Amino acid sequence: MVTSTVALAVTAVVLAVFAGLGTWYSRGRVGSVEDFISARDSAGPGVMTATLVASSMGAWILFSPAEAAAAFGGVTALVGYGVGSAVPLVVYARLGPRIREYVPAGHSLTEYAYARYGPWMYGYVLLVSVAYMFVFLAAEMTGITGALALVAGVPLWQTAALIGGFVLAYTVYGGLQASIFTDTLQTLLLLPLLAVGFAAALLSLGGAGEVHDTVIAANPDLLDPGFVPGLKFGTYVVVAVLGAEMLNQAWWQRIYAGRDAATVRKSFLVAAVAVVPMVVTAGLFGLAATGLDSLVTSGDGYNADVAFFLVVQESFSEPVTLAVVVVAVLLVMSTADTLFNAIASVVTADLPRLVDDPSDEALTLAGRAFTVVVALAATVVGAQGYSVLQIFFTADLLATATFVPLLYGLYSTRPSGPGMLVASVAGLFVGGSMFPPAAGMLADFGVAGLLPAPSFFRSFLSAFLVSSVLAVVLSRVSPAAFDLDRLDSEISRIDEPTTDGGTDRARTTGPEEVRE
Amino acid sequence: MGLGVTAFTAFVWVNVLLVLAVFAYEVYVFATEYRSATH
Repeated sequence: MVTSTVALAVTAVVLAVFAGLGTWYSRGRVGSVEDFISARDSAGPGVMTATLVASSMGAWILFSPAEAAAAFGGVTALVGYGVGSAVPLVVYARLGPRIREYVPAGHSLTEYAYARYGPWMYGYVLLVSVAYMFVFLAAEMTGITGALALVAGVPLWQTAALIGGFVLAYTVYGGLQASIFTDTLQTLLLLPLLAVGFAAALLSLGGAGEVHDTVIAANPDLLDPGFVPGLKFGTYVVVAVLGAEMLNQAWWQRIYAGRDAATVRKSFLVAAVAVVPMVVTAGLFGLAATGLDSLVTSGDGYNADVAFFLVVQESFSEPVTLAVVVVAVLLVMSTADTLFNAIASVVTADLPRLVDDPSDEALTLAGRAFTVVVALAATVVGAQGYSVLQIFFTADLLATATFVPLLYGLYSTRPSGPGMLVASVAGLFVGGSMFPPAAGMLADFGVAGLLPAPSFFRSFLSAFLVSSVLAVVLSRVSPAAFDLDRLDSEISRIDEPTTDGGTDRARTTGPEEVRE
Repeated sequence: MGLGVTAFTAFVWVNVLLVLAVFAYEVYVFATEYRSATH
């Protein structure tokens, strides 16, 4: 077993190197709040693809895909996870250029929600988006602290403090610029490390044939491409991940960070192709874990969620284990810096509307202050060792019921704010009525017997379908007609002077205000 | 019907090679961008 001291030392070195590089790169590049939260038109194809891959691939790829493979649905669930990770990126390849066309000076999805739908839908989207991103961040921090505790006995708070502190150091200084730069380096390190590391691991386990025989002996269904539980899992993962990622501000930031629309489209497509084998390769460890006596896939002592690390712990030499630690730290860093800045940017982009005439310096300072608050909160939560899976599913369900009504307004003039809010909340209620974590509460109200049996598959699919169908139906009967070109005039750069030559900061005016 | 050993082996190694292919693509894009920026 790797000692706690060695694991911490390796982690600290990796973190310090990236914090130094991120800070060095950012020097002189953050001249305004625009630079801090949007890095507008700055990323070429290589950098864009790298930051998309790095932001998408967090430490979760070392947990969830392996767990799905080992406990839920084998190779089918694994492929579903890979496809589920790619689908949002494919959707953004189409959506990104449209967002740039209709909201060319935008910063955040909440800005769009306010301008397109007004304050109520804005408030709802803000809540869902920030909740999802924070839960994602907390899950990343919880995952890495748990992983280092398992393979090297590192106390949770030490890992959380190290990662939170170093990532905060360069993110609070360089904002999105630092995040994108370090993402690029992290991707260039991660890709070969993951491929070579897995190949070495596979050989040390006796090769693919040996792993195949192990799985067949443990549970042959896990290698059946038609295994129904795996197909169901793969289906709802696609819907849940799609919904959640559509509400992830990190992607909206990167849509504006791309050099032009063509770069955005191509980079999202390449990133979609890249993440599938990365997720599947990491998840194959779950299949390898089925041969371990220590793996428990149901009941007391359930530990399939750390199947990847059970294989690492039981089968690998110290150097390979340390390589895995480096991979895990890189994965967490790339996602944590992205989410620190994404959450801070949502609030910062809304400040000019809420505060009377803030200066650019004040907004940049506010962006940095929000980054500190987010980092501290994530570090504290990550050190607690909570089980965040259930909260993660809840945040996914909220987003799944929201994304179609939200984005429909970019494609049609008819959706109205109240109508789309009703569609989202109705989808949430229907999905929630079949949501397994809510089953106990529904039983207390005595309505559980009246509803279909709870399952994640039914819950996510119904939330998606009900919110989508209602969004279309309510738009058909809505008298409202929103001129989409108004989005351009209502959302402008934060550092842009007003037409009267003053220094009043950009505003995002709601539909009602404009109509007046 | 489960994947046979040959299909599983191919599945595993194709994934590993795809990860390496993405890395090679990224290096190629950066090299191309660097060359066009310096010439």
